[in-house]
Amino acid sequence: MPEPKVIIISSDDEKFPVDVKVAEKSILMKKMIEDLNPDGLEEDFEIPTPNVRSTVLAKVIEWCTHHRNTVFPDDDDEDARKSAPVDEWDKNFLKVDQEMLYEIILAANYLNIRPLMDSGCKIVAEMIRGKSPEELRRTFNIVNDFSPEEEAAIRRENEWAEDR
Amino acid sequence: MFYSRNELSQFMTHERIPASGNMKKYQLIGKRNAIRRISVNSTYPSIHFYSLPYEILVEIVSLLSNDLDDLLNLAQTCRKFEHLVYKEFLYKDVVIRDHHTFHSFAQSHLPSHTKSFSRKTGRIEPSRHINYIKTLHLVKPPTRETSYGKTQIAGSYDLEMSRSTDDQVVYDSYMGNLNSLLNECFSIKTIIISEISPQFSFPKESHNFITHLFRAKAKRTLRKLVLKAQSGWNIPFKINHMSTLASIFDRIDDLVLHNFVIDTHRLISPSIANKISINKITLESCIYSSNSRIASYTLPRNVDNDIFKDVSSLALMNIYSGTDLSVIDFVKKNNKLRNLGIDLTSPVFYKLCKGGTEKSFDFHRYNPFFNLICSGQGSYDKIKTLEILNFNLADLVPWPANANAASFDMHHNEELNSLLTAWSKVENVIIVLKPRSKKLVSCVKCGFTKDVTHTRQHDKVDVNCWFSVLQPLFQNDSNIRIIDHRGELMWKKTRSI
Repeated sequence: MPEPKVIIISSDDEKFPVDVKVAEKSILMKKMIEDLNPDGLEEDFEIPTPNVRSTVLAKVIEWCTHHRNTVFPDDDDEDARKSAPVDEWDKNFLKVDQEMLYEIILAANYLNIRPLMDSGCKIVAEMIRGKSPEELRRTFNIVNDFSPEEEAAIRRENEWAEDR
Repeated sequence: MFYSRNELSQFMTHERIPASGNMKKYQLIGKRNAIRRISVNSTYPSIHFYSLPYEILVEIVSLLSNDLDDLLNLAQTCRKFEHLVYKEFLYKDVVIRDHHTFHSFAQSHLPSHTKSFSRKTGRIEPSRHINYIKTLHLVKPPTRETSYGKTQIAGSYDLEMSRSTDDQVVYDSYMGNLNSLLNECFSIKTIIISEISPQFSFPKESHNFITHLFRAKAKRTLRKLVLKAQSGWNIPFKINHMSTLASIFDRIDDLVLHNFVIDTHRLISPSIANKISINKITLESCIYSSNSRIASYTLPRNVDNDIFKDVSSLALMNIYSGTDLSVIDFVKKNNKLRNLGIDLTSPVFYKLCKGGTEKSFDFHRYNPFFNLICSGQGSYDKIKTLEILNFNLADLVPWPANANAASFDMHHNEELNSLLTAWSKVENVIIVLKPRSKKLVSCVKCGFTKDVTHTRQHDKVDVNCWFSVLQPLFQNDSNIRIIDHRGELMWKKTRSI
């Protein structure tokens, strides 16, 4: 008899059957499986994800499948999580357009997949690093709502922080 | 400039003004200059960097928090990111390392406190950013003495210091800025003053009638005050280490002293007009001098001017000598001491084993001590909660390699049983587990270091194992809680009613 699967349903009703081990990369799904099936899965178990589109869910499942056997640092150990460099496979995996990147981060946040969210945030942080305000506005399509005086004042009023 | 009702309501709900958050109602008085026309926010798509949830943006920006340039560049892009960077990073924990930094900070953010011409040219109102401050950390605050100063360290020897006359100016300016900041900033929860030199003290408190009149109306509580003596010193704790703070705050929830000498004469003799109420005191590596011990027995039982008069909770960390434990006697004179915390890894509790370098818990000497403080008799009858900090069973008894709690036979360790029985006499026992020391592994190629400590080791311990190990604790039907070093409850037993 084949092992029962977890069937993840996207917001646009597409179904993704996955192994329990893959689904359990999401803490949200892991808790749901444990709480609703205390004796273990005996048949296929459906989990709807009304906040995640099918294209994004497919990417998230791809990530979970790749990392099904990866051991990540303890969620509570913030220093270890933040200092760990982004895995090379993750870097390539997250080479997507900005909209998709934010959707993956939002999905990882919703499904509680901490390592995926960390990787996504690190990629966005790298996009910010070393850029001038004008370059940042161009990169992220941000509208400048400061007057020139206000913008200049930001540097001036934070001179004290150079020695923080 | 006049505003319509709609404009004002828009102003009140705009995110740049923390009207419902940190800013107190009375801070809005006189904020007319802060009111300005609100620019209309551009509409961003729902999936956009700008539209990401606040907590995710904080997570992203926290990865840049070590680089001031990156933070300021982001803050300069738009108002939303300016607010986020200021509130969560630049102004959340303000560290003032020297008087130049404080001067620069004050010029940008505080109203001028001098009465001269500079007042007319400086800021009239504080900047709104100062109400983002949650923690203020002052490193090595300047000292007051001019010319040659002579200071007695811990009552043992004199230290001569020479200073330039500029020091007085620096000191006055620093204290003026600090006063101004504390009076204007209502969001501060924690103040840390570190690297306190032996000569440091705040100015003597003012007896200004107006100040007292206003102070009587504005009750303020400081959640935590941490005072750390200069590295390598143990300096006497004085009333004037807190006098400026006592003139601003009525209450300190948690006072933490590192490397101080608790000298009862210095704490009781001088009166402190601005009385301050302290709820909890933590003494870390502090000394209670033997002279003070004698004084504590000769002082009257109810001491009016005692700075510890309202202390209901006392924690002793890293205790070095048996006499330092006598500080419990001094504090409990207030008749309000209810909770007592003892750091079980303190050197005082351990003795060298015969002929070896290994140390073992000195049950013979300290079981009677715990029996006394937990007895609930005499002057210890008010103590209702005993908190055993940094508890590790392996520190108390020989612990065979690869042993677990279940395989440990308690019946053969009478001394430990006796210690646990003593603890069980207190109504509430809280055992806080000691964190494991870190194990780091570094990559030889890139130098990347990874922590491989199994931080959750105790999670593996079965509930029944705790019951077995701590059996003698249950004799007297106490409330028992076992929590890990992060404060997570691991096991508890409630007394039967």
